[in-house]
Amino acid sequence: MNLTRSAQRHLRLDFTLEDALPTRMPVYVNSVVYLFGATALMALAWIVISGVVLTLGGPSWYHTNAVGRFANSVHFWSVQLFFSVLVLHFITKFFLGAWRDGRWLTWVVGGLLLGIGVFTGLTGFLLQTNWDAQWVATQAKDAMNAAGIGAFFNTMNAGQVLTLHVAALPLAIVALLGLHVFLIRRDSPVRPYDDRPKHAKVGSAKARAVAAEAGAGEDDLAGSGRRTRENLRGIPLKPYDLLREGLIVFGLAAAAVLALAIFVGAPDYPTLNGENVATKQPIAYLKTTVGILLGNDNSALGGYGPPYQGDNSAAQHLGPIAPATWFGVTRPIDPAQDLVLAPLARVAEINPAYAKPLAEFKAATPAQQQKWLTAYDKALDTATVSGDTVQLPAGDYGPVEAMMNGMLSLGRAGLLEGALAAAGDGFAPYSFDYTKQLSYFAVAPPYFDTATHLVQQGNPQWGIVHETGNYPGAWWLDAYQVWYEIPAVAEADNADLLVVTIMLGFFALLLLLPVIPGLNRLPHGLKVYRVIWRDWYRNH
Amino acid sequence: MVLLPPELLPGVPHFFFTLFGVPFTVAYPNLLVWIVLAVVFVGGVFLRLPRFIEGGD
Repeated sequence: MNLTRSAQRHLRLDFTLEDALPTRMPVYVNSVVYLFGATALMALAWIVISGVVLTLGGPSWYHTNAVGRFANSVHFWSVQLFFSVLVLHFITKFFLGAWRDGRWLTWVVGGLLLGIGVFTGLTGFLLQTNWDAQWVATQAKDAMNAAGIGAFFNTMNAGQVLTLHVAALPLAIVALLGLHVFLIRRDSPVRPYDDRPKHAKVGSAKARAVAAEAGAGEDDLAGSGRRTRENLRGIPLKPYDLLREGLIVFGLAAAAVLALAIFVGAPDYPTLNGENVATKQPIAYLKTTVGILLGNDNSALGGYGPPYQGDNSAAQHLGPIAPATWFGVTRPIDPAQDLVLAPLARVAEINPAYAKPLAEFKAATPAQQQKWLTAYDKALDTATVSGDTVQLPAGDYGPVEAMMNGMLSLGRAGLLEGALAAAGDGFAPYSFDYTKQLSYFAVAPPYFDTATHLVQQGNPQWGIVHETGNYPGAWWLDAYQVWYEIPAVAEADNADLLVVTIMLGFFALLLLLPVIPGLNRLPHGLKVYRVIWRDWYRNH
Repeated sequence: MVLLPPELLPGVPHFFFTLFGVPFTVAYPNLLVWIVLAVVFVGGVFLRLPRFIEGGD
């Protein structure tokens, strides 16, 4: 069998130039809803154009460069437009039952495109390199880890996120989009539901219409491929200019996106880092740091389990199923050692005054360490700030007070993130993994204070779908987010795994819709198609 | 539900100002998008394709 000859034959029979660039369309293609798909394509074009401009300076340059800022704003609004029309396109195709007559693969590929698009959008939000990106990274990791995906995908590894966002995921989208468009053009737009009586009376208007259709349109379809000829047999055609449609939609998308980018801009709330927390909220900074040493549940990754620690009992599970444990510890982190003691050892290298307290702490028994830490943690509740110093009530804190002062100095000097990067094996150039830096304040008061300040709301679950300021966020994840607003789900120990499982179930339903009995007839029962194709049904 | 910030209507229970637990003041932008989408969809369903897309021969 000659594969090349088979491909040639298939293309010659099923995909002609008239299929690829049609100059005629069936008459029932007569509603604005038919433009949503093309608009999504053109919004994607603007995403690519602005994305390519953004790649010229990397993910952070837009904070300080006017051209970058504009490109970022265009990118932001292109994404908003893209998801808007994509959702409308999907809803439209659902109401038209567009998977009928052998078009199930077109539907499935479209569903996969939606899924990959949502994931690409998430990586884009993570690449904003601002406070919202920090927030999303530390919140979204929980769902990834609970589902076992966190073993391979780290929301806090900017290098991985960047390469996925600009290379792997766009390639997947282009490939699937190519297949989607090929299938659409090969098969032609789906026919309206045939709501006529099965057996029209002889001589009736319906019967005459059926008879007229039987031979109609054959000449018009002469240049079309086999699938189109089969699908459109008997359907009158009208002139159409696909390129004109594309250009008009591209222009409309450009006008909308550029106007929003120019007049509204894009959100960019600055990052929260060790220096501004240590300077502006020193007690919160110390509370966070001592909490990490104490191993508090609300400290950075303390007692988290896989993929950071081997304690599988901490992993979320549904009955016996705990995907987080399947791949073990792929990114080992000992919060006390890696986030506090190791950076403090660097401080002691520079200032030997901190070496002695650190050595004393390490030499103490765990019980003694806990006693000092607990006393210090409690004392912070009544501590006051005077100038540059934090005044504590008298108490037995052992070496902990000196150690914490060392960590505070590190933060105030703006060196916390650097010391965290250098912990362990020393600083490695080209390391893009910011897990330790982003986790440090992830669930601590400074973060919540910023969130509260931004949105007057302390609920940590809202932030993935809402942007800072008055900008729309990832509203397309509202269907995911809404589950966390159900108290029984939100308060469950396995909330993330529960919500991920529910959404994967819904996604599977969406993909399999064409073959699920009952559900695949739902559009016929809803009858919205009769409004969209009302001109057609007036005569048929 | 009331699409106004709670401070404008004192005495009305806070629940009425939230959307799935998120204050409307926060949910406004996302909510606005959904409203716009609903309007565009209904408009799209009822509007016919402009004839100039058909082009000339």
